[in-house]
Amino acid sequence: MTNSDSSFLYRAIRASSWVDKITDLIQPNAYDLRGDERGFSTDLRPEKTLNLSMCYGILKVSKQDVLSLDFELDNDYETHFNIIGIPNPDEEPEKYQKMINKLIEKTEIYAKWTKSEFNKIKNQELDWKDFII
Amino acid sequence: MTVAEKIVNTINVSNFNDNREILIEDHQNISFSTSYCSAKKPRLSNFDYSLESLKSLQIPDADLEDEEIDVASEYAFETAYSLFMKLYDFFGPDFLYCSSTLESRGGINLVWNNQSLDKKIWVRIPFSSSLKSSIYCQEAEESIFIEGLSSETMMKLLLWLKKNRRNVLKDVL
Repeated sequence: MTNSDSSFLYRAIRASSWVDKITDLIQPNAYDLRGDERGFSTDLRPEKTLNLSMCYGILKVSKQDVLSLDFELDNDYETHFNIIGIPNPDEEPEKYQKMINKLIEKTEIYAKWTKSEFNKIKNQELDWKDFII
Repeated sequence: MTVAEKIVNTINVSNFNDNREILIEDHQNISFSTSYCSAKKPRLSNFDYSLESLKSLQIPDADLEDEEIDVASEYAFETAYSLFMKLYDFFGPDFLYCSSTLESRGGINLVWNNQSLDKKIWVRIPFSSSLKSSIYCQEAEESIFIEGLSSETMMKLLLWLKKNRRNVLKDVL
């Protein structure tokens, strides 16, 4: 896998709760629209996650899997893609849980680090690539 | 006071990190024994860790942005807490570990997994009583969706989750 491979999408782990501390499994809040988000923010380049003020690692999912689950992709700028076509959880709860669960199943943890390690990555004391699983 | 509530009052959460590795090992083995008595290091049970995960949703999540809802609603928390108490009274020390996470509007996601059997239960509790809770269960490629939430249904589903043989999901209820 190289950073130029356009088959995969990378999503920053924005909150430590996205991956359960006991089971190490991705949780439903990893794919939950917040605030005015239009879709689930992803990028072709995993290192873009380092632009955030804080993140705990990177999730990885293939474009093909996303599309096969009936989501859509919106390439809104450069290498950034929003995963859209998310069912309304109040109006279509069954479809919503089924699609989100499948998306979680298709997603893997690409890299993971702690808060202090991320600060060192930002300060270039550590290389984020050393945290790829 | 129920048995579960008595245990809640005795939990020492400071042991959480010390005991995490032990619980991970137990979880991976799908071991449901929680008779963790040790003179050197008292061990927390699956129920203790599950409750700790749930109670963490009452504390503002520092990872969320200022404008985001960072704690569970009172309705969601009380619904989840009440379910835990009823399930503990039924399962006792065989209570299965449950991960609790915050939904963007203050609702709660409860997830039970049995990785070795490829089974999962995901309960969505909304932030408000004006919306309905729901249960999504999956076993390999098969899944069912249940609108509404009752402790009786959850007891049946958790018995299904821990069974060491595959059984047809739709026949469980």
